[in-house]
Parts: sequence; structure tokens; C-alpha cells
Amino acid sequence: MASGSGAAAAAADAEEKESGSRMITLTSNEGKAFVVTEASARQSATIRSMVDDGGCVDKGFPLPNVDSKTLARVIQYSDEHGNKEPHTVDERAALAKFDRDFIAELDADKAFLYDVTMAANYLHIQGLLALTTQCVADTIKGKTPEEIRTAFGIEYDLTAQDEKEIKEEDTHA
Amino acid sequence: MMEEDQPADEVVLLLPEEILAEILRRLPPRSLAASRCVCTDWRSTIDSRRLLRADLLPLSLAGIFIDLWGIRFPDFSRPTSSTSPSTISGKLDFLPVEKDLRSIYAITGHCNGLLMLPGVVVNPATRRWARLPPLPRHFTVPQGLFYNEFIVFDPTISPHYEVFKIPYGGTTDYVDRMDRLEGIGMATIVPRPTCLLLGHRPMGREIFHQRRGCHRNTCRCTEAVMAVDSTRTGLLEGIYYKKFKPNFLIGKSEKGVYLASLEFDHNLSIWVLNESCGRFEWLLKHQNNLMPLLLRLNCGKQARRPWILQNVNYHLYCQKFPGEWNLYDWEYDPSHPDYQNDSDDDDSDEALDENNFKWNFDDDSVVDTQECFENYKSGSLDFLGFHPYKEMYPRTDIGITVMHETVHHSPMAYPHLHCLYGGVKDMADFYSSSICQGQDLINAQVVVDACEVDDTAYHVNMSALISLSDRKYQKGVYLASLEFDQRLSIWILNESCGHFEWLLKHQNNLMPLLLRLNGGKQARGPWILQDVNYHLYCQMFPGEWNLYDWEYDPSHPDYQNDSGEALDENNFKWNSDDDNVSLLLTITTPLSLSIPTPSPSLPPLPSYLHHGALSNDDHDVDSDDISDDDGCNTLIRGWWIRRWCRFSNLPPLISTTLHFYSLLMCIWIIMLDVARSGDVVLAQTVICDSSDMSYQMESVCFPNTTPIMDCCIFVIHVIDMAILNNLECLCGLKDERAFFDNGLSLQDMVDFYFSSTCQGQNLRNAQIIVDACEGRGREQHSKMPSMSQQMHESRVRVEASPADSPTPPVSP
Repeated sequence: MASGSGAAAAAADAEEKESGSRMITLTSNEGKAFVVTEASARQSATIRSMVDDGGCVDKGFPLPNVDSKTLARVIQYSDEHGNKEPHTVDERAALAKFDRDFIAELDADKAFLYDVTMAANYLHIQGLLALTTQCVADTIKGKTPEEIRTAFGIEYDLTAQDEKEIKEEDTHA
Repeated sequence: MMEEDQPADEVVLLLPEEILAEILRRLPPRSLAASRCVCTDWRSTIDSRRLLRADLLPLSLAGIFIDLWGIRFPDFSRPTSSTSPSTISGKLDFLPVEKDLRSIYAITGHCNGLLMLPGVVVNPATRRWARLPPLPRHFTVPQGLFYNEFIVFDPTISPHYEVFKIPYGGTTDYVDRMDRLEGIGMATIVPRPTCLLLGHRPMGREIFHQRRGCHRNTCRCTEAVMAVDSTRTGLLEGIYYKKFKPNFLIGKSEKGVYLASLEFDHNLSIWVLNESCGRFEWLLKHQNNLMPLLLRLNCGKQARRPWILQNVNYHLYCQKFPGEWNLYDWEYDPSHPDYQNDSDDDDSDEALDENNFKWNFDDDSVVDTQECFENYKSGSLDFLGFHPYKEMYPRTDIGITVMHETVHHSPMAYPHLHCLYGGVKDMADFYSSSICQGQDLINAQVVVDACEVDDTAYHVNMSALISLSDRKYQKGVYLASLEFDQRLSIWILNESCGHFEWLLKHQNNLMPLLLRLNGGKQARGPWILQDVNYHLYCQMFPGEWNLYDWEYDPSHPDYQNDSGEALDENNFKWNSDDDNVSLLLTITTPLSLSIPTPSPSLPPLPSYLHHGALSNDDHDVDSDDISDDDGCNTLIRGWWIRRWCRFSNLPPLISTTLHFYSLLMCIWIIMLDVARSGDVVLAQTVICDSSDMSYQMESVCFPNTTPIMDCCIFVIHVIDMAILNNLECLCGLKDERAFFDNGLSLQDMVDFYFSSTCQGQNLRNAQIIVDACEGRGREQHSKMPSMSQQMHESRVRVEASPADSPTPPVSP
């Protein structure tokens, strides 16, 4: 490719980048492709850095750590947050409502919630990660250690030494 | 990446540590502590990332802030054993406060280490502060309504604090107007703010405020704000009203919300709020009668641990007025050995603090169990507070400790604070003291210490004295007043042509003297306190000492001396060299007399003095006029009578002051009316209730024919017992209007009675004032009122000094 046309393409890229209208393809580990707007994809810090580094935008991004179901759900979130820029109070309220509904749905299916959490972490979508981790934290909040173990099915594996320490700390606190 | 059909219980374990950390990071400390006990993975995650900042949790008590009215900075008192850095200081001069406000550095609230000053929240440990945002614009302050600000801060729940502004003013309907105000950029700490129950004393009769919110159940309580199921309020109020409006305190301690109440008969009850199944219930944890303990404490026991008072104000004063000591201190004699250490150079400052503000005690065991303090003043006790995180009783394993202040056993005439139970809070009534957390534990002794300083300052500070001379000198009516800045003024009432006016005779500033007196000077006359109550009580309840006194240990050497003659001899004799005051009689509620030994001509006690039953009730007398006979009879029966009547059209002067002292809930205005009609001298007190801006008048009658009170009257002001109220003293005669127009007679006053208990203290204060006047102003008025009488609700105090021997400036 001639260097001139390359420069023109780069300029067009920049233009497109600004407009956010460029489409990006994300591929799940099952090979299913999802086409999203760049604004939506840029919700992910991982993809954003690759795009900004001039990576293979056209080829799409394979995401070997994310399955289709999870990716669909993540894209639902990033579309909502990436494609819309809330300006008015109403729009912000609508977005907040979306988040609430989104997380309420996830909360019903814990395993899926963790998948989404992992995906958010892998893709570095801060908003989504905050949403999901807060949801898990809310489950923990207010519970005794025993209740937490029951809720998460964790086996009790603290040693006698740990117990002793805990006891000492408790007398102080 | 994860199989969907994987059992849910293993999912979390498979989460990478960074995600687990991300989740745990969002937990409040309390849940984090629980999570730490879940399993080793979680534990190591929390520990390795230092998610749980135990150092930020309120696990220790660093000391106490002592906030003296009228003194610039609060002082911070901490135990000497404290390993904490002494970075915390009462010198809050980094705050950008406006200079003209009197209460500028006054601590109005505190919670878990944060201090609340008017409009400002301060962390004294970091010296960072934040200003509160203004009230919402739509929110206007109704007439006659003021705000109490409460800060709520619980680092185990949230790193944010919240400030509540609660209006008060007299009736519960203000509650509905309660507004919530958050700190700057702070999140809500109360997750479900709904109905807030507030126990705040300033209300006097309105003990609780409740906000009826949308939620039925709430669960949070912090220092001053408690949220409780609204349906249970009836129960709460029931407790209090039933108990004759005792002192009470709501606070948070180890097991949640506590409530302590103290009744007139010194019965202490402690409840804990039990929350189960959405129901709230007060469980009685402890009940006891403090009377035996109080009586014993008067015997002069000491507190147990050395504390250091920073004494910021003293140093400040020394710097500010280096040359004025001689001016103001009329006892100052540089050649006298006693004064060698008192001079203001920097070296001796250190020595002074060391000597006077450190306490040496032998037993630490009580310290940890003392959690709540109480002032014992004139038979009235006050809570200092709950210990923020400990609930321990010495003998009862429940716990709150009551600290109390007694008066007459110290060589100095200062009141002593004794810690009976445990706890921490604010001594809201007389000064707000705050506890700062972050380091070590509080000690009863400190408070003793602090209070001594405190109380002297306080008494003199805020009290005013009005006295009339006796017939012998015919000088007439004197008025002495002390203002917040310790300025003493003495007026004489000039009666000419039917006109009355006050002439200023003397003015001086007692501050240097006060500060010096804190240095441990002694009272001057040997006095013996008969200590009637103590012996009476011993006779009445011979077997109950062990029961009530949970520190009682007959085998301990400390207790060997605690009973009987030896005790009285040791503790109630005063060592001094002259008898300037020939008679001092103090009668507290049950009847306790102190009679000076050397008194050459002690007049017989009037018969009614023996009827110690002073009525504390408010007798509402419907008739507006009190005949002389009525007055006499009433006096003899119960010593005094109150007459209430409306006084609706006071001049604007008063309403201005009402607004200015917005902290005051109720201002009592005293009007002294000397009507020498027949045998009765009539004193009238106007009580002004700021809540409805109505004024009430209170009358007091004395016969002026009794041997002791020849013609003298003397009324001291009064205040609401809940707060340090200012008293506007409008003194005058007959025509009230004339008084209000008379700017001279307007004085700030504060309660003398509740702060002054028994002989020692009263004596001391009186003595100081007499000294002061005579030392400085002898030429002007050579005879101070030789006989004076103080009267207050349940107490009467009579003092007299031999008029023919004017007190020379005493050389110690």
C-alpha cells in the first residue's frame, strides 16, 4: 500500500474514531462474532488500548476467555453505557435504572454473575466490574462468617492458630 | 470460561484473588472482619492487601476534651500512660473561625473521634476540618426554634460522617420539621434513615424527638442519633416520664444502644436496646443506687491514674498577658515562696502542669471498667457518657460508669469528679467535653483533674452573684456579677428620689487568679463537715455497703480509713489560717451542714433550717399577689414558692439575646425585686422560655426578720439544668421596665447551684470573690456584703462573714 493512501486511511481512521461510528467485531471463545460500535467497545479498557495502539480493528478481537452468553450480556451493558451519553437528569436516571435491572437479573443467577464479573475484569470494564462486585459484596454484608460460608459453600479451613488469633482480636474489638 | 452448571458454592473459590479483593474492598469494616474469619483464602487476601484498616477503627480512647465555657480553647486531657502521640491538642487555632463568636471553639458534638464545632467538623488527630454546607435555601428557621447539631460517624460502617440538625424549641411538633444535612460530599451513613429518636437533654421535658419517616424499622444508632422502630417510642417515653424525668443518656457501646437514666433518688438504671425479629425492646441491664457511693466519694478518695491536661488556655494566657499578673492578681507576692513556682516563665509552666495536673494513683484495675462519668453537683448527677466500645462493670459485669463530681473533700475547694461507673460521652450540661479516639483509654482521674480546673472556671465564669449588704453598714444593695471572660463587676444600688440605679463600684478580671488557683492553692479556714448524710445513710443501711459499693474491699488498705471519725477528720477539715468567714451554712437537699469551728458567735439556726424538706416541686400558685403572710408561711413550709404568671411584653432587648444565644434552650431571667414591705423581701424571677417566647415570673419570698438573714437577699440566677444556659440577670426594683432599660444590669449568668455542691466549693467560690473585691476595691467599698444568702430550688445557702474584719489579702 502506498504511503499516501496509508496516511489517508489513518486520517479516515482518526475521523471515524472520533465519530465513534466504526464497528468492531468481538469473537467469543465459541467463535461467535459480535459486532459492536467502537464507542461500546471502548468501554473495555483492554480493547480500547488495542484500538488506540492501532491494532487489527478490521479483523476483530478474539476473546478466548469469554463465552457467548457472557459476552452477549457484557455487550448489553457496554452498549447501554457506550452508545448513549446521558445529558439530562432523566437520561441519567434511565441509565441508573438500567444498571439496577441489569444487576438484579444477574443476581438471580450467581454463577452467571461470577462469569460476568470475570469477563468484566478481563476486559477491564470498570463500571461493570464495580456493579457486579458490589452486588457480591452486598450479599456478604451483614452476614456472620458462618452465614457467608453457607451462602458461598465455602469449607471451613481455618487452623487452630487462626482461630486463636481471631479470638484475641475479638476481645480487643 | 466457567461452566454454567458448576455448583454455585464453588464459584467464589475459583474467582481469582484480584476479583475477590475487588469484592471485599467494597465491604464495610465490620463485614470485612467477618469475612476474615470465613476461610484461609479470604483471610490471606484481606491481610495481604491490608483491606481491613484496624487502625482506623474506634478501638481505643485517647482522652477527653474538656470544653470550658468562656475559655478560648477546649483542653485535651489524656492519660499519662498513653502511648499515643500527643499530637491531639485542644488548640484548635487552625480553624478559620470568626473571631467575634463567643462559642467559637465550643465543641458542640463529637462522635468516634470527630469533633463538631459550630458549622465545622474537625478531626483533631489529623487537624483536618471541613465546613458544613449551609442549610437548604428553602429551609427557614422558625421563630423561637434552634438547632442542635449531631454528628454521626461510625468508621466500622462507613468512612463518611453525617450531621443532623435537629430543631428544638419546646414541643414535639418541631420534630416534623427536622431536616437532615449531610456533610460535604459525604454519603449517607444511616442506610435507612427513618424515624430518629433523639435523646437530648436540653429539652428538659421533651425527652425524645422522633421523626416519623416512611420506614417502620430502622436499626442504627450512633452517638446522638438513634433510629428505632417508631412504634416503640411509646415505650421509651414511658420509661422516662414514669421516672420523673430523670437524667438520661442514650449512647452506643459494646452491645449496641444503651440507655442510662438517673433518678432523683440517685438510682441508676441502664438498659440495652434489644433488637430481635424486627422488634425493639429495652432490657434492663443494671440498676443501682449511687447514693452510698456518692457519700463515700465525698470522703476524699482519689482517682487512679495520672492524666495530663494540656492546659492550652493557661499557656495562652501567660503569653498574652505576661505583664498583667501583678495587676490582676491581688494575692501576688513574688517574694513569697508559694509564688516562686507560679510565675509565668516557661520553665515553671512545665513544673506547674506536672505538679498539678498529673495524678498519682496506684490502681489501674478500675480504669478499664470505668465507662461513663457523671457529675455530682448539688445532689444532681450527670452522665458524661458511655464508653464507646466497652461494657464492663467492676462488680456487675455490665457496664457503664458514672462519674460524679463531689465537692468538699479536696484541699482546694474544687469539685472532684469521681468515676462510679463507666462510659464516655459529653458532659453536655456544663461544658461539652468530647472524647477523642485513636489511642488509649480514658481514666477517671483525668476527669477529676479536668473537672477541677473546669469547674472553678465554670463557676466563677458563669455565675453571677447578687447580694445585699446587711443592715449594719447600710450601704444598700450590691450586685456582683461575673461574666464569661471572668470579669468581676460590683455594683451598688443607689436609691435616691425614688429612683433606683446601679452604680459601678468595682471591676476586675479574675482570670489570672483562677488560673493560679487551679495550681492548687488551698482554702483558708479549718472547717469541719458534719457529714450528716453519710452517717445517716450508714445507720439506715448498715449492711448495704457491700451491696452497693462494688469497689468495696474491707481488706484493702484504702478502705481502712474510709469510715467513721478518722475519715471526717481527714477529709473535711480545712487547713487555713484565718477565719474571715465566720459562718457558712450550706443546706443541700437532705440537709448537710457545715459549721466552722472557730466561729465565735454562731447564731442559732432558724428552726426551719432543720426541716430539710425543701420542696423541689414547682408550686403553681394561681393568685398573682402574695401577701406577706403567705410568703412567710410558704417559706417556712418549703422554703420557697414559685409563682408563675405571664409576662408577655418584654422589651426587645431580651428577644435579641435569646436569638444570640441560640444554643440555649431556655433562658431564665431573674428579676430581683426588693420590696421591703413588712417582713418580707420579695424576689422575683422571670423565667423566659425561649420556645414560645413567653416569660414567666417566679417569686421567692424570704422573711427578713430571722437572725441570720437580717435583710439580705440574694438571688442567684438559675438555669435550665440541662444545658449551660446563660442567664440574663435583670436586676431592679419595682418597675420592671426600668430594669430592662438599664443596660448595666444585664449580665450573663449561669447556674451556680448545679455546679456548686456543698460547702467546700461554695465556700471557696465565695471566698475568692470576697478576696477579690476586698483586695482590689477596699477603698471604694470597704465592706463587702457581710451576709448573703443564696437560694435556689432545693438549696439554700447562707453565708456570712464578719463585717468588722475585712478580709486582708491573704498571704498563703
